[in-house]
Amino acid sequence: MANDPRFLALLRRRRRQALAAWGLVLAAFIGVGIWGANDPDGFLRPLAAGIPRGWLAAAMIVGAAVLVEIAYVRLANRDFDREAAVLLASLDRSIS
Amino acid sequence: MNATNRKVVIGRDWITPLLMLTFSPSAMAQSLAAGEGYRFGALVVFALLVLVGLVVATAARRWVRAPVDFYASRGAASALPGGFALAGDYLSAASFLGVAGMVALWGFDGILYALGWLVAYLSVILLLAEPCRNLGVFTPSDLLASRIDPRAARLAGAAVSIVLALFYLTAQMLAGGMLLRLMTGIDYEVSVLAVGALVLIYVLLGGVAAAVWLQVIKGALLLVIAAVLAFGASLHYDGVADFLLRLGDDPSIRLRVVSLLGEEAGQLTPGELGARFMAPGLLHIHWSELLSLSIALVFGGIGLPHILMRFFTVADAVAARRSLGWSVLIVALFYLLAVFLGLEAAMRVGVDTMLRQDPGGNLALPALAQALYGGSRSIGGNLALAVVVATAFVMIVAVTASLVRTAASALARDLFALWRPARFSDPRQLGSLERWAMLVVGLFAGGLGISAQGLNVAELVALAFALAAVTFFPAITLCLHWRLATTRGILAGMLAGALAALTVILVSPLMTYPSQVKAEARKTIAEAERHRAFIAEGLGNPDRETQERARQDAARLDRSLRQARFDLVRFRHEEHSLVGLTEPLIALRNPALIALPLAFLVAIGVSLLSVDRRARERWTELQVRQYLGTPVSLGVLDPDLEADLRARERARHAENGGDGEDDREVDGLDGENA
Repeated sequence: MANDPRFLALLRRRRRQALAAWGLVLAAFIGVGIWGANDPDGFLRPLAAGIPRGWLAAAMIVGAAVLVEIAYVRLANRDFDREAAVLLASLDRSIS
Repeated sequence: MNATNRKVVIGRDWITPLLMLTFSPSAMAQSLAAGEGYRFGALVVFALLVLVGLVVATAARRWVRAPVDFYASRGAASALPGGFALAGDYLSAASFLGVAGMVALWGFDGILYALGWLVAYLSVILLLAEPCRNLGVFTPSDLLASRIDPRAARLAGAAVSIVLALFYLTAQMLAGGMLLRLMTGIDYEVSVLAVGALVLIYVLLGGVAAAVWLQVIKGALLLVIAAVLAFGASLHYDGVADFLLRLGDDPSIRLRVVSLLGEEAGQLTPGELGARFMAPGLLHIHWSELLSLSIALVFGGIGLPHILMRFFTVADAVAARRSLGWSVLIVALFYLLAVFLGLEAAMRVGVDTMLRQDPGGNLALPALAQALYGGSRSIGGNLALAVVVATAFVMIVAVTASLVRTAASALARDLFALWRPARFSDPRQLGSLERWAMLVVGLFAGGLGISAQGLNVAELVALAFALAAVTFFPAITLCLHWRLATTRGILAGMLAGALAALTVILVSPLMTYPSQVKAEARKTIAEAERHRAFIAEGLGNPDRETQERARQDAARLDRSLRQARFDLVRFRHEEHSLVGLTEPLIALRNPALIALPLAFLVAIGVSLLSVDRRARERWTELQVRQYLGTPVSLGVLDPDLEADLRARERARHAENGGDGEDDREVDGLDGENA
């Protein structure tokens, strides 16, 4: 059974990273929609250079989506690959 | 609109009426009366571009020499082309038109579609892409089959995929029909049938299986068109703030808000009316509607079959990740441009004009292209119109053809062949069955496309996302991440989600309610005289622009009256909807909010009540493979299971001749698009 503690720890961290990255953008997306529906005035109040706050928030979601993805792809996966390789090497029982 | 007074007639007098009579005498006579030689020129350019595009797309068939060319690629192995291929798969011309139209008609509520699909793409990448790539599966059915009973998984997967394909087909037919009507002036119904005929010819020519490079070209073309239009539009503004201020000041947008809010608009100042367009709540009035739409868009992407396969485009994991980075940037840029162009269309073309062209707003973008580069009475404007429409049209025909083939293939090979394996064991019988299935799907799609007139493409695609969200998403999530999931539980969850979604749609505002339709029709007929008086006033005006508008109004009024009389006759004996209602039971236009939790609950409940030894045994193997992507022993498998895994891996390796290619059917597996 899947009882190797190193493997389990690796999987747990992997899931946490993916869910945290995705949950952040998802929460922002749904949050902006509901905020605007409940408080159109607050949503539209100008903030930076006449741009409404809600629109700025929406633009930030797009930015966050791109940044989160790049950070996840570049950093989290790189670490995971390295650790998985070390783990595999230590077990040294690859089928190929 | 920036109409110029220059007039250049392209085409001979004798050929124009001849060509026009071939299509629709009344529409063409109007065209001649308006002296629109430009239109004929645009039509010629459009026809030439469509011909060239379809020839190129058909020739691309030759690039596909083996399944690996279809699913993966021999050429597009580097990161940037890989990114464009991924983006090209996800984006479509129809949704581009639909999103821009939604933004132009509904302001911020339309923007939610664009944002939602970007977040959906992220969901696919963060939650699903890597497990699928590591497991070596291409579709949701494959993914389910790697955990639960393969036959049941493929049957259920095929059934859902067919319904999903039909939703997409309807959206594509709608967009294709609209574009053809715009260019030729023929009736919408005839346009849809013509698209259907063109698709059939295209399929017969063999132009279905698209190579990866075709997706690269498609993604790049969409982005280039959006960027060129956006560049032309941006020259008129001094930054974002100036754009937003002018958006709020635009009279066409203020009028749109007044027409949507009704009496409530009386309490707002003109400035507030413009600003209201930029706030949520014009289309989705209650927060629950927004939530339901958000759930459908975000989770639906995970359940779409076509997105997963392109993760095999690139050579290795490192290139795959770089491609993903590029594709996210491309998709984000594309949707941002679509939003900007939608808002620009609302200002430059005018919401009223767009609604006259198409109540669903799907023609906002072609109209903007024409307006930006000179207007309807200029060569530049008509050339821009022809190029944008032809490019979108070619993409739509190619995608529609592949969708027809995909749905037919799923119907014949997965549903019938799995259901009656003995009867359809002969490949010739199966081929014949597939051809019949193609015809049935094509006819069905044509009927659906005609009935979808007036809807927005993006809304239709959102419904497809909702269905994927309530069926494939719970099934895939539980298969990948829940140890106790069983075959019965997964199937029951999918069925419950689909039935709940269907039930919600049947009692929602999306259905036809005859008593409401008849009331609307009577109102239209009663107000016709008043409208005619306004139109007569416009026709008598010396200004050519006003006269043109009045002529369009008259044509629209005639269409509305014809439709109203038709509705009164059609529903003369009916008062209730399909399920016996006189009005919608709920305001939700998207069923995900109710159907998704129900699907999860049923799947979990039935899984807890049932036992599935195979699913339990596969859990450990699936965990190892979905994260590490290689069938290695980590000292974590049961010895028997490990031996079985090794044997199957060797057999697979031997079958593939050791080159890692997958021997699956290539034909008809191109994907539909978001």
